[in-house]
Amino acid sequence: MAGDALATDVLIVGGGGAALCAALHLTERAPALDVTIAVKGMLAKSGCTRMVQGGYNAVLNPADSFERHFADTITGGAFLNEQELAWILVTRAPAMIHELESRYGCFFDRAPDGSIHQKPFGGQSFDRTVHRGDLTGIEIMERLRDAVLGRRVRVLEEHRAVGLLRDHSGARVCGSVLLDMRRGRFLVVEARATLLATGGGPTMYAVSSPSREKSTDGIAMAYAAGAEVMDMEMVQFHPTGLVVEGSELHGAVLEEGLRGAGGRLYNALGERFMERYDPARMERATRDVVSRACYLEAREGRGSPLGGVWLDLSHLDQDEIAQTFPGMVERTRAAGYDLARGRVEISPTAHFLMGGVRIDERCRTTLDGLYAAGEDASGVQGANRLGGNGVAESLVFGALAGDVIAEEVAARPHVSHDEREADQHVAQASAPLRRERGADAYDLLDELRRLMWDKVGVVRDGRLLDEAIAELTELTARAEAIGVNDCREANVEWAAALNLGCLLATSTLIARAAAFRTESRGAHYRADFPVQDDRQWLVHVVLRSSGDGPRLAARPVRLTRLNPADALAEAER
Amino acid sequence: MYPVPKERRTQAYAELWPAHPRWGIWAWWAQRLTGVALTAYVVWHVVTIARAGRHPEALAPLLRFLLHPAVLIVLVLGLAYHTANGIRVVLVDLGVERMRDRRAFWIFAALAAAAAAAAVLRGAFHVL
Amino acid sequence: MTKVRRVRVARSDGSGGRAVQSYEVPEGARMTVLDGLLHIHRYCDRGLAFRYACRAGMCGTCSVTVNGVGRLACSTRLSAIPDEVVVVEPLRHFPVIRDLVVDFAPFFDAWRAVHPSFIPASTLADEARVQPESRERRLIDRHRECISCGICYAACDVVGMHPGFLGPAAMTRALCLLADSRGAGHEERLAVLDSARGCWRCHTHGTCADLCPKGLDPTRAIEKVKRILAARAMRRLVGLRPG
Repeated sequence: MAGDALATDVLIVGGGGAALCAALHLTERAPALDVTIAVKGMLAKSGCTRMVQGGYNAVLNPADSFERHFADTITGGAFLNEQELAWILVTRAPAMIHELESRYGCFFDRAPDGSIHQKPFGGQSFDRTVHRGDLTGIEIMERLRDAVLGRRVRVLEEHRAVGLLRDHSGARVCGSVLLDMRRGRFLVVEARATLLATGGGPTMYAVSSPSREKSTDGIAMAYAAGAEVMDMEMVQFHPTGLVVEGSELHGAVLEEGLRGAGGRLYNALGERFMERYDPARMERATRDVVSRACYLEAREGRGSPLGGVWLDLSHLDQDEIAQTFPGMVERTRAAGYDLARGRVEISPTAHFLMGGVRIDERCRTTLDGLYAAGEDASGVQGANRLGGNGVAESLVFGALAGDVIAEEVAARPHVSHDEREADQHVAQASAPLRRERGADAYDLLDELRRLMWDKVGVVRDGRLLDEAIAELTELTARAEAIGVNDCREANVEWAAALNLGCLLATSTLIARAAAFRTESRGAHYRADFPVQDDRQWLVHVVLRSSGDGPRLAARPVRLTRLNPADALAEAER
Repeated sequence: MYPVPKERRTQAYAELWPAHPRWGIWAWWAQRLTGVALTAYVVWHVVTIARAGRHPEALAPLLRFLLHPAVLIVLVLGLAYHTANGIRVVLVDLGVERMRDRRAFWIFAALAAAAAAAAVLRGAFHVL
Repeated sequence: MTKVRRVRVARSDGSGGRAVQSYEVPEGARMTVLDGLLHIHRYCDRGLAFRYACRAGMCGTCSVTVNGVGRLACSTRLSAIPDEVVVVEPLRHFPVIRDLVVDFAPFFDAWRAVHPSFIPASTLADEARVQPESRERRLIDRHRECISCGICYAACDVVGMHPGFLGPAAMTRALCLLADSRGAGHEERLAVLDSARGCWRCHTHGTCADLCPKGLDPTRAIEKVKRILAARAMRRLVGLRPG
């Protein structure tokens, strides 16, 4: 029943920055390897690296230092980062910039003296964000794609992974079952090493920014196969998502640089409300602070009817705005706003998942044969990600994963997969095609998004979280009855149903972890436990699948380089 | 580097005229057709004149054709258009940016029409 | 009372049978063609097949033909379409897989034919110091923001006449690479640009430049390629002269 089969050396699931950097490094280090990329959408077009506006943080200026970037990252992450991973990020980020330019032909904006221009960004003590206009992601992905086209890599477009495969012992991952969405046929891929790089993507919220096909597939599959996931409660809400009523554009991000350049936030009463939340930094506070402020203003009745507040740049130089943020001007115009002259209605939007599959310093997950890099992995960003660190993480760790796999795969034999598991994945994925429409995938998606936004959103509390967990269980049960139209080829409804399955799985993990952590830290804010408690809670919430639901444990953060006490002393100096 | 993909035929037939034509395809076909027509006429004209000594009987049909008012107008219009658009395209090829858009095309087409009209009227005065 | 708009969508299955179906879509002020398709899919016909990803005009996935013109569905507001009826068809010149989903293989075949991978001219050890206002940079900047959406390829009449014609996007990409002094591999690219598939087939219709959603001007880029090839030919000619 399983369909076609393919044997490859390395299977990369995903097609964004992490996936392509991994493929490029693999083909560079070990050109004899058979490398396959399975991407859910179209190569280099889907995903969120493409959508990066702001930029990429790297220490390039001699006046800057790794220690400073590291300290910014750890402080921004509320000390929940795995410090060795964060150290890898900051020390390897500059080399990646040079690689992007000198090997793949990217070209980033220059300062007048010809050196790479670095702009200021939230939460950073130094202007280190490298960019190309306000559309850095397009430059990066187009050039990475062109580089991949020049290598011997098998690219399977519009192939989504529906489950990981393990060997007969269940201890080792040896590939994945893919679904060719164009033809509606399954492909069983056996691989000596599998890399998850699907890019997280918390689209289970009413307002979310990621590319629409994202649905945390990598994390859901890894968890289902028995890998440890951690920090799932850490969902970053970007403060300025566009409010566009009745349109899919709703939730698309307006970059942080707009606030960095002096943009102001107003509520329905015309107040610059950030005064009440962070008078020192105002609109330039970190994303978690600003998101919470916007959310609370709206919840307490001082927002717009749609739950938004307003971003205003009209007091700034209009020509300069048009010149510095042409992409944003165009995007707001498409939504019917005038960024330079008028107010734009915005709302916090679910943007990035700091949590994900637990990895070590070689991108290895807790399952043998399974690696993860980019947003699918966790630990690098801690409890809150700084703007500009996300694309840096994807590219740095994607490249690292490629290097590590190139090294390790030689010693890994081909193992045969458990056919029953493959059949199970196929059966489960095909089920909606055969069922009557007992439940509607789109209605359930709406319910899930509303539930998560209201109860596991920007501001949380224990009672609502417990309710959410119960409701998620109920939703998951109702989703078993989903039926979709039975056309096999290019079936958009089927894709939505499969996305819902993954989102339900990870939403449960997010809610469980959020209920478990009875403190507030970074992006995770609990109204019933509003204070950060470093004595008890400098721990990761780790989840692992067991017979009856997730097993949660608290694992202490390894503070190998910086201590909160030291950082406090430093800040006071 | 790496093998270049071979051409593949994705359509059963060449689409000589698009479903939603825009000014570019009009301009190009007009240039082609006037070019072919003018070339045919010039060849006929030159050959006839060249052989006029030996075959004087061929001259009369040529003149009859040429001096027919309808033909004259069409020929002059065609020549004017072909010349004007031709100049525009040469300017584009030489790198003059302003000539590349729809507005430039219509301006040249209008100039051609005006020149043709002037020539025809002048010729009409002569003949009449 | 929300306005209702008639949207006609070209439907087809893989076997080639084609029909246009009519739907009524309640039109909100900020709705785009993509929103219309999503409404039709969810409330009228779950069998409708179409593509989208970023929905913010950055990925080039949702390109379709709207009232005869290639557009990004996510960036085209219904209110900005003057005609009463909105007709959505798949992108021209691409083989249709189903409904509005097309096969981008011909586009990327042409793209790959110009050797789009950057080949470094030498091992660039350090960050390249490049003056932002240099002539080279200004040329490249003009043509660089291509999102490979395929709209220019669909718009190009020559693509319809000659299979294998490289098309505007591939040749614009080639120009950016040719102009980049940090790169090499120019001879292979010039060879394919000079061939029967290359720039000489461009008749300067200018439709690609009219329709590019990013405001790029591939006609201008191709003109530049033609001049580069002409100059190269001239130099060869001069070089061949004895003495």
